[in-house]
Amino acid sequence: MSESKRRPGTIALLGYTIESFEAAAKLGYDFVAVVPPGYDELLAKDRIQAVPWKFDRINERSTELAETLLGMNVRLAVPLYEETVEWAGALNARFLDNPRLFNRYWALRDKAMMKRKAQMAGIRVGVFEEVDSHEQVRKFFRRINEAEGRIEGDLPLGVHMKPTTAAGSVGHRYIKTTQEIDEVPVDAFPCMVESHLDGQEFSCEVFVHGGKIAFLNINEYIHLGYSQLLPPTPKLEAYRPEIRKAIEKLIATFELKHGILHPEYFLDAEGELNFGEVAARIPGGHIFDLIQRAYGFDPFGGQILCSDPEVTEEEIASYFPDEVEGKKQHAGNLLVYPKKKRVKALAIPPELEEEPYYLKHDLFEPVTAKVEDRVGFGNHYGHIDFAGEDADRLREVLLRFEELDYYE
Amino acid sequence: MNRDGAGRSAAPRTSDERVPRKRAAFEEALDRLAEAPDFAKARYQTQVHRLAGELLDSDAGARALLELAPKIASAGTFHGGPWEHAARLLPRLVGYSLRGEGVYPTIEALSELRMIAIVQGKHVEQGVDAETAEQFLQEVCVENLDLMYPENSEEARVRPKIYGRAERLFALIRDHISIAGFGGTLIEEIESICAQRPIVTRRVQKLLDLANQLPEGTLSAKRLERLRFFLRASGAVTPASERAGDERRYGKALDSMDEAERGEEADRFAHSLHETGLSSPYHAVLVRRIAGSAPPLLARALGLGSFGAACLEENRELVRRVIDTAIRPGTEVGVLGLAKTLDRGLFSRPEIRAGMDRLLRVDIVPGVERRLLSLNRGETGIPARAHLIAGTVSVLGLPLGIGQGDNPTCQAARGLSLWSQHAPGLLLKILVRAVRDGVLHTGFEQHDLLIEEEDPDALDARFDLNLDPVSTILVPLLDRLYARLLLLVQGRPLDAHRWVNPAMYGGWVPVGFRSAFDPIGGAVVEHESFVRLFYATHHPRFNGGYDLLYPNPVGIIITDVHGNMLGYHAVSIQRIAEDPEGKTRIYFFNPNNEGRQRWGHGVSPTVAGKGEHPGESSLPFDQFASRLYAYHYDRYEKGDEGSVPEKIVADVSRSARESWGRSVAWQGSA
Repeated sequence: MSESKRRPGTIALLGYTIESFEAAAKLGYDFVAVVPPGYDELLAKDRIQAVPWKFDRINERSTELAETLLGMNVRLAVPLYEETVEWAGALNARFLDNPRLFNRYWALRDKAMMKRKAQMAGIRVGVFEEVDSHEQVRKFFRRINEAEGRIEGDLPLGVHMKPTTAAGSVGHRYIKTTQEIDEVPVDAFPCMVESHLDGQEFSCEVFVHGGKIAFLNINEYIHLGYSQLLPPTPKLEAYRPEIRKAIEKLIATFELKHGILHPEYFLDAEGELNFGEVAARIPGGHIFDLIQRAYGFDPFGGQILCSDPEVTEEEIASYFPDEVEGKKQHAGNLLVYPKKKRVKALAIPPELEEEPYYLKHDLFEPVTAKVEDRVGFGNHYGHIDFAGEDADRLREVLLRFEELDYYE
Repeated sequence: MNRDGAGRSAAPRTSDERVPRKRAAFEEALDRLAEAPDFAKARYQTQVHRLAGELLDSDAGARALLELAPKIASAGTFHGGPWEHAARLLPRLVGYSLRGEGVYPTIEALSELRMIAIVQGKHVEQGVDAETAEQFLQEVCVENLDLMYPENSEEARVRPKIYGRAERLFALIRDHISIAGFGGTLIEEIESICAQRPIVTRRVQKLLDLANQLPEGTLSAKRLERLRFFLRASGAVTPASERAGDERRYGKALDSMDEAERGEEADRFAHSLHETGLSSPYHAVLVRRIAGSAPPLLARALGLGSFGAACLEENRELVRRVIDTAIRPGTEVGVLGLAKTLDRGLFSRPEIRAGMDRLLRVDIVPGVERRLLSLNRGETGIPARAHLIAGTVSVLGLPLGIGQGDNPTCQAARGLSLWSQHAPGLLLKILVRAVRDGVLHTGFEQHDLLIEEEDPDALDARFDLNLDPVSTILVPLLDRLYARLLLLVQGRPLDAHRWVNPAMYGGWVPVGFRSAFDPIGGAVVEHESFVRLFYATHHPRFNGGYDLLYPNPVGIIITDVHGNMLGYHAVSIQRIAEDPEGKTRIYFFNPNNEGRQRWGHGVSPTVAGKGEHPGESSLPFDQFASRLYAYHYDRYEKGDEGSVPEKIVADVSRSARESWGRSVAWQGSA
């Protein structure tokens, strides 16, 4: 990649993600970083144009931001994380003069709306409901268990509860008993509840340009939030054609023309795909790093290119490799959470460095001895990277090292 | 805690054969960092920091890092963080970072390796030449002698990796800077601390231990002689005590000496005591032996001046009781305290005699007794009252040797020092009450204030009680009195200290009070007028001949070496006089244990060489004024404000505004 080509106008990157800034610079973009207050000063020191902005709920002030950015010759907004997606919608509706864009992005932010839309388009989803009281959760829980034929004394079937607009697994609860419903704090409402889906869970990272799939990555979760690898092991890889069809349907349903999608699915024992949810942002869990390692291109740059309607089809075609033939190796990672309640120091097991598939880790000496409670999957202590030729062996390695503790 | 101590004290090591592989990975990460644009450095720094940490786990790895130091610095390892500008770093903070948590110790170590590279001429950094870098590292060594020559502290046992890495770093530093220069710095450090005559001498003892371990040949003959003199001062000062080997045998040896020989011993000990400020347990033995003999010999042993000798003559019985109770090995610090108390003539004052008599007799409440006994630190057998009396004469004799230790209690320490100087009777009254009744009882306006002994656990959690015995007893009570007073005057239209200081310290604190801050808005207001009044009430040229009667408890703003505001601090102006060069200086007491400070923009208080008495700090008048934010004055005793030249006022005000003034709101004439 070279910086030779300068592109017309300026783009706004919403959020603070260094990888995206770096990619934009490499691709020859002039960009403005729209970042939470405080970060703008940091960036200004490094001579990056930055606008401070609080990305809370969208409001009438979005026009103000649009005006500021228009004054800086901005023609496109690219969202870098969950909370900035609807802002990108609102801004692009203005920049690209297409008022529908905001609603389209909003559908990708509200989990209940997203599910309903998918369901209406004939995509298989679990049973779900929007709730705003404990009583409604109890009803939902009862109905699910009645439908499954559970009677008094059986182990009840659990249901999931999640905020409608938080990223990934932030705020997620798995309710297994009616007593646990009572323990839910009042401020958790309104939220949504949904039935539990079984099966092999995986995510896709879909790069969409002109309404078409520019690149489809399939990321296999070994244990959601702990370990994953890509491209997937042969058993899941065999479903690529079906997955591709499902993704095309998803793109059509959400009318996405430019950008990325990060949907999650369950493949059940019968080989049917169940849709979990979808986001239009960079995935967590260092999945982009894995893609880069496995395929050799920079996905952060890929997201920016795909978001830009002015990029030609030829450039897109030459940027992304073939998703099967272009594979260099399989890449996987392990997110590490200390297994103890209190940790004193980092203690890397010697066998890690002996493992040929091991690449590197970013685990640090702990700063506070107490292990924080998990929020979403965001606050792991670091991750360990592995890579190798054989996907099944990589899976086995990840499972083995997931058992070990890295702290004493 | 000690069960597995022995096994764990050795730092874990990355076996050296892994170093080449790790070094390769490190260099690769460094290349990626070097290529990254400035705004993206942070993305690649983490991997560099982590791999550097692993390399620091072995000697070969640490050496590899030193080889790569120029590249580490230029690649952007420090970009965007506190270590970015080498010229702005403070040697004093290095130790905190090296003992820190997470990734900080590693970055700090890399920063020192950068300094070594500058010393070697292999790396260039703006504002730091080879000489400055070497000085920086020497200061780092002096500040961190315990990391350089690690002792088996509990902390080192618990954190073997951190201490192991620091030890490896210091081994590299030692190989690349002049140890001779370092040894000299160490001796100067010892002398500077001793010149301030601190009551608690633990830090100086630690430095002496370390100086004693310096490799042979690192000190010039003159410095070595000086070091030996200081080393002997807290041990066997005289040949006879050296021969005796321990205090008991020395006592016996004294019995067989004739008067002339004892006189010889007395003179040598007294000389060492007053020259260094360090007391020897052998000296305590000597003083005990001759306590009952003729006063002239005791006066020689204590090194008293004629005033002190007269006071001793007059109070033989009291002195005998003090020595009998409190002067012994383990509380030898009392020797200097007693000598200085006598030289101040304090025992000739009836209220002091009465106070001492009570302290020698009263029952000690259990909480106080427990704190006094904890001063024994494992050695047993020294009664609480021995600490109490030795501590009392220390505070009476060395009012400027009181330090606040590791506590944010400058107000309390300043109070003890002020009382010892100007209200010693009151100090003893407060002390007797605390010792006997466990309370501090005073009044403020219509309020009756009773502060009682705290629960021991709460106390231990709140304070570092490594203080002198009197501070150990009174600081916890005074600290709470100060807090209560602040509460009582909350909401009044002027700075709280206008009322709190006279209430706390005594009626001799003038009621006139001026603060640079507007207590409601919090901004600096009319600063030039604030400065002008200070000159008209304090500067001998402008104050109409009304010199300071009592020390003035004032508020100053502490700034760092770059002149940035760090916080508020309580000191007292002791006196204002011309220094040997004829320059008007303010001599003040800083309870902060260490009078030598660097406050930026050329403002650096000194403790010796400018006419300071032991324990005093000093600054030129204008420099002190530029860091001042509150003072008391007597409204009936002042000169003509109009006579203070505008230029002086403007210069002081500008200096204030350009240092701490940058951190606060500032109104009025620019």
